[in-house]
Amino acid sequence: MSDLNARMIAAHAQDDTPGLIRLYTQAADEANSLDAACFFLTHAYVFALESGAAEATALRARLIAHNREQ
Amino acid sequence: MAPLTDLSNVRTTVEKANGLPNAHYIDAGVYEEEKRALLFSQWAGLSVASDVPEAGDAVPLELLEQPLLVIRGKDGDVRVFHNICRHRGMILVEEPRKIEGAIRCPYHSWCYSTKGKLVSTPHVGGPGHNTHDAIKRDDLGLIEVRSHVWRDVVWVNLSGDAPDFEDVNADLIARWADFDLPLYHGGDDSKFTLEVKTNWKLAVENYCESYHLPWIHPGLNSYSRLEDHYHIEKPGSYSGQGSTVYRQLKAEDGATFPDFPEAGAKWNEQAEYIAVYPNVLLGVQRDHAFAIILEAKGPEKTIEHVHLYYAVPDTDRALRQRNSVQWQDVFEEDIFVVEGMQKGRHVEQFDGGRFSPVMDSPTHCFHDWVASKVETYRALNKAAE
Repeated sequence: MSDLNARMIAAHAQDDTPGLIRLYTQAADEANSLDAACFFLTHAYVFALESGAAEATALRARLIAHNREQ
Repeated sequence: MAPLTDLSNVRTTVEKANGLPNAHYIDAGVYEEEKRALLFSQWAGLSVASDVPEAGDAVPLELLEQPLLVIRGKDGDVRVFHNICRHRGMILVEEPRKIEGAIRCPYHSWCYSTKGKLVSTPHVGGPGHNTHDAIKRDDLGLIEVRSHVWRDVVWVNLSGDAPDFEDVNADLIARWADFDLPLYHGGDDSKFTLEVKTNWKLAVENYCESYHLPWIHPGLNSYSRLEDHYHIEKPGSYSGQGSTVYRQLKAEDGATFPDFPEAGAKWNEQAEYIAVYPNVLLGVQRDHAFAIILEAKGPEKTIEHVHLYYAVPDTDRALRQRNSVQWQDVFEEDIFVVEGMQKGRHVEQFDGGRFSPVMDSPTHCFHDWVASKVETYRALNKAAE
């Protein structure tokens, strides 16, 4: 996780939106609780939404499945 | 409370009237009053739609310190919103840019569609919980400002309660029906700004009369004499001047800009220059048009945003540049006048001046409009006390 965290920080520093979507999704997939997973999914979703990335649809569906989005 | 100024001498006939009192040009209290009476509650020019040519293009602007966002939606429509998040009032967009997906607030990342709909409220119900019963997204979209696009100008009515734009300006829209044709902005070489140390109203006043032309623009005398001009006045709405000897700009080989198709022979040598109250100056000619938006930056400072338009999308670049330079030269000739009149408003004994009953009626028409709107505003405020 610390490596992932470092890559996330680097992606933030470089405004690498595709990287942020990918890394937050990865963090969600590797999280050890639903709340943590949804926290990371939320970030992935927001960056996808902002940039008009195709991933937004699937990320939103995952959040809705856990009753975390509408 | 006594009114800030006495307008009784303004709202009389041009033969007897004085101009607006000094305070309308230099006083912070009157400026605040006029902000609401003349700009927020009317249809004020904000910007041009050509600034947001493509879907998602967004430009943050201020209208008298009010942060606004002009954005072209994915549906192609231009809208204007308060440029702040419904959460903590944070500014949403700081620089002109393209919104690829959603507008994300840079503070807590609430997201809005280009139509202003609130589409995401991350962690609003706690970490990873993005909804909450108390946060009704349908009620928390961006606040849209009433807007209307005409002749590429984006007009806004901040108070939201003015009559429809097309009703307020029905007479002018009909007057220029011949020019109800597509307008093509000339691009980067066809826009410029002038920063002027004057109250915005003096720019209107100077624009709408022809009396000054032979003295301030002597270059016009050889072909466009004072007697070739006529007054245009629609009390309560607009005033300006027309010319019956418009002469086209020509390239060395004699080429001219293409005419607006179907404008008609009436306009072969006729041109009109009209101040649309409060703050937009428009010009129409057979082969090009322009719009000037006066941005008030305080009682004694104005930025003039000038945009030139043509009848076709692709015009000759060199000729277009010559045209921009020519107009810039003309408008710059007016600067010392409006700045000089502004300085003159600090002479405490100045009574607002007297008008030429024959030559100044378009300016008097504007003063009458200003006075009527200010008096209406004062009466409403008094009734609310």
